[in-house]
Amino acid sequence: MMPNSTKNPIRIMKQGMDTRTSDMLKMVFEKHAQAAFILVEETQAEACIFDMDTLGSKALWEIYQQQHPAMPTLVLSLYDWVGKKHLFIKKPVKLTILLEQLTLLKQQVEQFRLTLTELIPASQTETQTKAGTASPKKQTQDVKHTTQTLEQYQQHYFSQYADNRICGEHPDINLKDRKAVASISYHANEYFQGLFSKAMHLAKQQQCCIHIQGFFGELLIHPAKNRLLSSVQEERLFTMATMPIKAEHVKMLTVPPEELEQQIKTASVAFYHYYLEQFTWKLSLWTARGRIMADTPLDQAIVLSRWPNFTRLLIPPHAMQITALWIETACSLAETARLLEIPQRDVFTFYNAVYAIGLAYPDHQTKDHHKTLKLSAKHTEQRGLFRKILSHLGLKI
Amino acid sequence: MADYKIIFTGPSGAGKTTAITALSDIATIRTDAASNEILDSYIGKKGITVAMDYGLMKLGNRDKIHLYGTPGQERFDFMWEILIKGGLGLILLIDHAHRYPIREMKAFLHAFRDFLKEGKLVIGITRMDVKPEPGLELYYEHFRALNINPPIFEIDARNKQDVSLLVQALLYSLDPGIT
Repeated sequence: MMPNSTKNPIRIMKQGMDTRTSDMLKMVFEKHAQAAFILVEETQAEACIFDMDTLGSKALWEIYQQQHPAMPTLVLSLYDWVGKKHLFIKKPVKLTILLEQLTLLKQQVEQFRLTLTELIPASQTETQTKAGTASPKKQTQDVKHTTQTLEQYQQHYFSQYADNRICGEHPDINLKDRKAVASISYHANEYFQGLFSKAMHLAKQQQCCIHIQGFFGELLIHPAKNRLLSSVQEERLFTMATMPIKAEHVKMLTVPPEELEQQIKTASVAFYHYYLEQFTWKLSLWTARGRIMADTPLDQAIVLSRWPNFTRLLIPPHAMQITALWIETACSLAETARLLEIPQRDVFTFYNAVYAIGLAYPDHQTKDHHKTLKLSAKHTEQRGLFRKILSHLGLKI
Repeated sequence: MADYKIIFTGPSGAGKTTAITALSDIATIRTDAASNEILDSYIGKKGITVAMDYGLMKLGNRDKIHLYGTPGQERFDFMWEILIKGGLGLILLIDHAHRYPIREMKAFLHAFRDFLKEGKLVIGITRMDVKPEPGLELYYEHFRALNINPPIFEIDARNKQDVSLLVQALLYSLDPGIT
């Protein structure tokens, strides 16, 4: 039997799952689990149900484990499962067994929530302890305060998680150490980013549209309309971007614009729409995750031709700061991190994105080994106030 | 206690009052009157700002940021000079759906030219959903020719996040080292 319904349902993401299984889960959650669970996007998830039997699921599983090593997980598979760390149901899935396993999954998540509560700073714990002797009004305030703090902590946790998802967690390295640099470098051509870049080049060269088909689904590129249409949900695109991929796994067709438009009109699936710049930007963030493209000159100053249209882009950490600096003066990646006192991975991530949309390029004339930039002293006078404004607006600094 | 101000300017109907309302911690004080000009961008707009709009961000510890919106019509331009004095920076909103948005922008850049010799500028382009083409390239091109590089963002003036990003860009333009 399932536990009673809750006002705070367990947020579950699905991975490697076809529509049929996904619909089945939704139905179970609504009709048999008294809304104790809801399906959510990856960034919001506290637990996962992973289907091991879809195409590419093994590669997906490896990536999933790297990204969510501690997430409570229920695995569904036709085959036996040896991993003892995760809950498991052998297909065909029986309702009673699914409900039993969901109860265990719920317990794991609740344990995690409890741990989160315990992680609230000590001063807050003192407030809770004293609440027993306080007036009823004070007790109500304290309860409210505790809830707010927990929410704030969870918000911080998810925000941190979102940043890590974009920028990874690589520590700063000595950029003169070639081995260390190699460890944080990647070749775009080994990922979908490289294939997408080739597709865009081809589309521009031949002034046509491109139809990309792969194991992940379909993507349609319409350069004249500045659009990319995807049959795939964003979470799946993210996963695809992080996986090494070979050209033979993907079929790329050139299509005349009118034919593509007809294809869209008559398609049986719904498409997600992106502006090309928006998609290119996201794809570079997802692929790089704090790494740097191989052969990026680390000691050359970077020129930024203009501000990105930040209101319509996914903003990685410290992107505005780096932009403001590079607009003021060309500066190398290493020097940027040093000057702004921010992690190198944030600078790499941002550079990858602006480079991908053609806004940044290395200035081969300028090496800034010996250039010691300093942010003007007059700036610091108002810094405290500016910090307060940013914090007031709820913007991360 | 610190008292600073940020100025929102731009032609009538560009969204200055709405943007200030999105940020203000008090009810925006407005000085509206019925419009005596019929322009495309006024359709659906009940009044126009004839003196100024005023909003306030309360930062705590009695620190405040005053938000001023200039009147949009040039016949009130005597107000612009008064309002801009001592401003942290200028946020210029342009109605992209207007027939001549670049002409409108040029007029405001000219009017504030003295302030802009030293002061920072951020540009918010509104109503791009009404007229998506040509895109922001129109504005980039203009500033490329002038060899200046202000932040230019597509915004919805009703969206607090969009307006907040304009302010954020202004602050980082003033000091990239805020940490």
